[in-house]
Amino acid sequence: MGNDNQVTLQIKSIGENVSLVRMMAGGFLYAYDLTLDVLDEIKIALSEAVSNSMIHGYNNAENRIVTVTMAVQNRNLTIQVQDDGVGIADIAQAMEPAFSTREEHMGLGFVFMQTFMDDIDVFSEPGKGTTVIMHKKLPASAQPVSDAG
Amino acid sequence: MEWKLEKDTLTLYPQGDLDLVSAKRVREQLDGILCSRGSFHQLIVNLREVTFIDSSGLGMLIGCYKTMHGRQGRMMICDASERVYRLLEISGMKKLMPVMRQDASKTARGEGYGKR
Repeated sequence: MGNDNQVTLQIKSIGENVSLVRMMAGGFLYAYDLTLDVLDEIKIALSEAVSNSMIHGYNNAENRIVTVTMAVQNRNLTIQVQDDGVGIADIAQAMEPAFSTREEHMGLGFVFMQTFMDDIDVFSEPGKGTTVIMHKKLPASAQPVSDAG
Repeated sequence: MEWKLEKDTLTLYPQGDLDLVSAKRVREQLDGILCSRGSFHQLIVNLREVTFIDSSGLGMLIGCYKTMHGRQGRMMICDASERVYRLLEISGMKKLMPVMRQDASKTARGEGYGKR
Protein backbone atom coordinates (compact mmCIF):
# COMPACT_ATOMS: atom_id res chain seq x y z
CA MET A 1 0.00 0.00 0.00
CA GLY A 2 1.45 3.31 -1.11
CA ASN A 3 0.66 5.04 2.14
CA ASP A 4 2.78 2.74 4.30
CA ASN A 5 5.68 4.43 6.04
CA GLN A 6 8.25 4.03 8.80
CA VAL A 7 10.48 6.35 10.78
CA THR A 8 13.01 5.83 13.56
CA LEU A 9 14.24 8.56 15.87
CA GLN A 10 17.03 8.26 18.41
CA ILE A 11 16.86 10.89 21.11
CA LYS A 12 18.94 11.82 24.13
CA SER A 13 17.07 11.18 27.35
CA ILE A 14 16.32 14.83 28.10
CA GLY A 15 12.79 15.85 28.97
CA GLU A 16 12.56 18.44 26.19
CA ASN A 17 12.79 15.62 23.67
CA VAL A 18 9.43 14.18 24.78
CA SER A 19 7.65 17.04 23.01
CA LEU A 20 9.98 16.61 20.02
CA VAL A 21 8.82 12.99 19.70
CA ARG A 22 5.18 14.11 19.85
CA MET A 23 5.87 16.62 17.08
CA MET A 24 7.45 13.86 15.03
CA ALA A 25 4.37 11.73 15.56
CA GLY A 26 2.14 14.59 14.43
CA GLY A 27 4.15 15.00 11.23
CA PHE A 28 4.43 11.28 10.58
CA LEU A 29 0.71 10.68 11.05
CA TYR A 30 -0.41 13.74 9.09
CA ALA A 31 -0.78 11.67 5.93
CA TYR A 32 -3.36 9.39 7.55
CA ASP A 33 -6.04 12.03 7.99
CA LEU A 34 -6.79 11.29 11.63
CA THR A 35 -9.14 13.24 13.85
CA LEU A 36 -7.51 15.42 16.48
CA ASP A 37 -8.88 13.12 19.18
CA VAL A 38 -7.18 10.03 17.71
CA LEU A 39 -3.97 11.95 17.13
CA ASP A 40 -4.06 13.18 20.74
CA GLU A 41 -4.54 9.64 22.04
CA ILE A 42 -1.52 8.38 20.13
CA LYS A 43 0.57 11.32 21.32
CA ILE A 44 -0.41 10.63 24.93
CA ALA A 45 0.55 6.94 24.68
CA LEU A 46 3.84 7.89 23.02
CA SER A 47 4.54 10.59 25.59
CA GLU A 48 3.98 8.10 28.42
CA ALA A 49 6.28 5.47 26.95
CA VAL A 50 9.12 7.92 26.28
CA SER A 51 8.69 9.62 29.67
CA ASN A 52 8.81 6.19 31.36
CA SER A 53 12.11 5.40 29.65
CA MET A 54 13.62 8.68 30.82
CA ILE A 55 12.22 8.74 34.36
CA HIS A 56 12.25 5.08 35.28
CA GLY A 57 14.52 3.38 32.75
CA TYR A 58 17.31 5.93 33.02
CA ASN A 59 16.53 7.41 36.46
CA ASN A 60 16.45 10.87 34.84
CA ALA A 61 20.03 10.55 33.56
CA GLU A 62 20.30 12.82 30.51
CA ASN A 63 23.12 11.17 28.58
CA ARG A 64 21.31 8.02 27.45
CA ILE A 65 19.46 7.15 24.26
CA VAL A 66 15.79 6.33 23.70
CA THR A 67 14.89 4.85 20.32
CA VAL A 68 11.42 5.46 18.93
CA THR A 69 10.17 3.71 15.81
CA MET A 70 6.79 4.37 14.24
CA ALA A 71 5.49 2.30 11.37
CA VAL A 72 2.21 2.11 9.48
CA GLN A 73 1.28 -0.86 7.34
CA ASN A 74 -2.24 -1.10 5.93
CA ARG A 75 -3.32 1.53 8.48
CA ASN A 76 -1.98 -0.60 11.33
CA LEU A 77 0.21 1.65 13.46
CA THR A 78 3.07 0.15 15.46
CA ILE A 79 5.07 2.25 17.89
CA GLN A 80 8.19 0.85 19.52
CA VAL A 81 9.95 2.69 22.36
CA GLN A 82 13.19 1.14 23.50
CA ASP A 83 15.72 2.01 26.21
CA ASP A 84 18.78 0.31 27.66
CA GLY A 85 17.98 1.31 31.22
CA VAL A 86 17.42 -0.50 34.50
CA GLY A 87 14.54 -2.61 33.23
CA ILE A 88 11.41 -3.68 35.07
CA ALA A 89 11.49 -6.48 37.62
CA ASP A 90 7.75 -7.13 37.70
CA ILE A 91 6.04 -6.05 34.47
CA ALA A 92 2.54 -7.05 35.65
CA GLN A 93 2.89 -4.92 38.78
CA ALA A 94 4.31 -1.98 36.82
CA MET A 95 1.24 -2.04 34.58
CA GLU A 96 -1.25 -1.92 37.46
CA PRO A 97 -3.21 1.34 37.77
CA ALA A 98 -1.85 3.72 40.41
CA PHE A 99 1.37 1.75 40.83
CA SER A 100 4.34 4.05 40.89
CA THR A 101 7.75 3.86 42.47
CA ARG A 102 7.89 7.64 42.74
CA GLU A 103 5.97 10.37 44.49
CA GLU A 104 3.96 12.76 42.34
CA HIS A 105 3.68 10.14 39.65
CA MET A 106 0.20 8.75 39.39
CA GLY A 107 1.06 5.35 38.00
CA LEU A 108 -1.07 6.16 34.97
CA GLY A 109 1.56 5.80 32.27
CA PHE A 110 0.77 2.22 31.30
CA VAL A 111 -2.94 2.81 31.95
CA PHE A 112 -2.98 5.54 29.31
CA MET A 113 -0.98 3.41 26.88
CA GLN A 114 -3.47 0.57 27.34
CA THR A 115 -6.46 2.91 27.17
CA PHE A 116 -5.49 4.76 24.02
CA MET A 117 -3.82 2.01 22.01
CA ASP A 118 -5.38 -1.29 20.93
CA ASP A 119 -2.62 -3.50 22.24
CA ILE A 120 0.63 -3.20 24.17
CA ASP A 121 3.54 -5.58 24.71
CA VAL A 122 6.30 -4.92 27.21
CA PHE A 123 9.62 -6.75 27.09
CA SER A 124 11.97 -6.10 29.98
CA GLU A 125 14.45 -7.62 32.37
CA PRO A 126 16.31 -5.95 35.23
CA GLY A 127 19.51 -4.45 33.86
CA LYS A 128 18.62 -5.17 30.27
CA GLY A 129 16.40 -2.24 29.37
CA THR A 130 12.78 -2.08 28.31
CA THR A 131 11.02 -2.27 24.97
CA VAL A 132 7.39 -1.20 24.71
CA ILE A 133 5.53 -2.07 21.52
CA MET A 134 2.08 -0.57 20.97
CA HIS A 135 -0.39 -1.22 18.19
CA LYS A 136 -3.38 0.74 16.96
CA LYS A 137 -5.61 0.29 13.96
CA LEU A 138 -5.93 3.72 12.45
CA PRO A 139 -9.56 4.63 11.72
CA ALA A 140 -10.50 4.91 8.08
CA SER A 141 -9.57 8.16 6.45
CA ALA A 142 -12.23 10.83 6.82
CA GLN A 143 -11.73 11.80 3.20
CA PRO A 144 -11.35 9.49 0.22
CA VAL A 145 -7.75 9.14 -0.88
CA SER A 146 -7.27 10.43 -4.40
CA ASP A 147 -4.49 9.34 -6.71
CA ALA A 148 -5.24 12.19 -9.08
CA GLY A 149 -3.14 14.87 -7.48
CA MET B 1 3.61 31.25 33.07
CA GLU B 2 1.18 33.96 33.98
CA TRP B 3 -0.29 34.00 37.46
CA LYS B 4 -2.45 36.27 39.55
CA LEU B 5 -2.75 36.61 43.31
CA GLU B 6 -5.95 38.18 44.54
CA LYS B 7 -6.73 38.20 48.23
CA ASP B 8 -6.77 34.57 49.28
CA THR B 9 -6.63 33.07 45.77
CA LEU B 10 -3.71 32.30 43.51
CA THR B 11 -4.61 31.56 39.87
CA LEU B 12 -2.08 29.90 37.58
CA TYR B 13 -2.34 30.03 33.78
CA PRO B 14 -0.04 27.34 32.35
CA GLN B 15 0.26 27.26 28.55
CA GLY B 16 0.85 24.72 25.80
CA ASP B 17 1.71 21.12 26.62
CA LEU B 18 1.80 19.97 30.24
CA ASP B 19 4.34 17.16 30.09
CA LEU B 20 7.51 16.06 31.83
CA VAL B 21 9.37 19.34 31.40
CA SER B 22 6.62 21.96 31.50
CA ALA B 23 4.90 20.33 34.50
CA LYS B 24 8.13 20.61 36.44
CA ARG B 25 8.40 24.30 35.53
CA VAL B 26 4.85 25.00 36.73
CA ARG B 27 5.58 23.22 39.99
CA GLU B 28 8.80 25.18 40.51
CA GLN B 29 6.99 28.43 39.87
CA LEU B 30 4.26 27.52 42.34
CA ASP B 31 6.89 26.67 44.94
CA GLY B 32 8.52 30.05 44.35
CA ILE B 33 5.23 31.89 44.83
CA LEU B 34 4.49 29.83 47.96
CA CYS B 35 7.88 30.82 49.38
CA SER B 36 7.62 34.51 48.63
CA ARG B 37 3.87 35.18 48.95
CA GLY B 38 2.44 32.07 50.52
CA SER B 39 -0.48 33.51 52.44
CA PHE B 40 -3.24 32.30 50.10
CA HIS B 41 -5.43 29.28 50.78
CA GLN B 42 -7.12 28.76 47.43
CA LEU B 43 -5.37 27.68 44.25
CA ILE B 44 -7.03 27.79 40.85
CA VAL B 45 -5.29 26.24 37.89
CA ASN B 46 -6.79 27.66 34.72
CA LEU B 47 -6.11 25.27 31.83
CA ARG B 48 -7.62 27.33 29.02
CA GLU B 49 -4.23 27.66 27.27
CA VAL B 50 -3.25 24.02 27.84
CA THR B 51 -3.49 21.97 24.66
CA PHE B 52 -2.07 18.65 25.86
CA ILE B 53 -1.61 16.87 29.16
CA ASP B 54 -0.07 13.51 30.05
CA SER B 55 0.48 11.69 33.34
CA SER B 56 3.43 13.96 34.21
CA GLY B 57 1.11 16.98 34.00
CA LEU B 58 -1.58 15.17 35.96
CA GLY B 59 0.99 14.14 38.58
CA MET B 60 2.01 17.77 38.95
CA LEU B 61 -1.62 18.78 39.55
CA ILE B 62 -1.92 16.06 42.21
CA GLY B 63 1.26 17.38 43.82
CA CYS B 64 -0.24 20.89 43.90
CA TYR B 65 -3.38 19.47 45.48
CA LYS B 66 -1.37 17.70 48.17
CA THR B 67 0.53 20.90 48.91
CA MET B 68 -2.66 22.97 49.24
CA HIS B 69 -4.32 20.24 51.29
CA GLY B 70 -1.32 20.25 53.64
CA ARG B 71 -1.81 24.00 54.12
CA GLN B 72 -5.49 23.54 54.92
CA GLY B 73 -6.21 25.15 51.57
CA ARG B 74 -8.19 24.04 48.57
CA MET B 75 -7.71 23.76 44.87
CA MET B 76 -9.76 23.68 41.72
CA ILE B 77 -9.14 23.27 38.02
CA CYS B 78 -11.08 25.26 35.46
CA ASP B 79 -11.35 26.02 31.73
CA ALA B 80 -10.10 22.59 30.61
CA SER B 81 -10.65 21.82 26.93
CA GLU B 82 -12.68 18.70 26.11
CA ARG B 83 -9.59 16.63 25.40
CA VAL B 84 -7.77 17.74 28.56
CA TYR B 85 -10.96 17.33 30.60
CA ARG B 86 -11.24 13.73 29.41
CA LEU B 87 -7.80 12.94 30.83
CA LEU B 88 -8.70 14.65 34.10
CA GLU B 89 -11.77 12.42 34.28
CA ILE B 90 -9.89 9.20 33.55
CA SER B 91 -7.26 10.05 36.16
CA GLY B 92 -9.88 10.40 38.90
CA MET B 93 -8.94 14.03 39.54
CA LYS B 94 -12.62 14.94 39.95
CA LYS B 95 -12.79 12.85 43.11
CA LEU B 96 -10.24 15.14 44.73
CA MET B 97 -11.24 18.61 43.62
CA PRO B 98 -13.68 20.58 41.45
CA VAL B 99 -12.76 20.25 37.78
CA MET B 100 -14.56 22.32 35.18
CA ARG B 101 -14.40 22.20 31.42
CA GLN B 102 -14.31 25.30 29.28
CA ASP B 103 -18.03 25.92 28.83
CA ALA B 104 -18.92 25.27 32.46
CA SER B 105 -16.26 27.57 33.77
CA LYS B 106 -17.49 30.53 31.71
CA THR B 107 -20.38 30.66 34.13
CA ALA B 108 -18.13 30.07 37.08
CA ARG B 109 -15.76 32.84 36.05
CA GLY B 110 -18.66 35.21 36.48
CA GLU B 111 -18.67 34.07 40.07
CA GLY B 112 -15.03 34.91 40.46
CA TYR B 113 -13.19 31.71 39.56
CA GLY B 114 -10.05 32.48 37.67
CA LYS B 115 -11.29 35.84 36.44
CA ARG B 116 -8.71 38.28 35.22
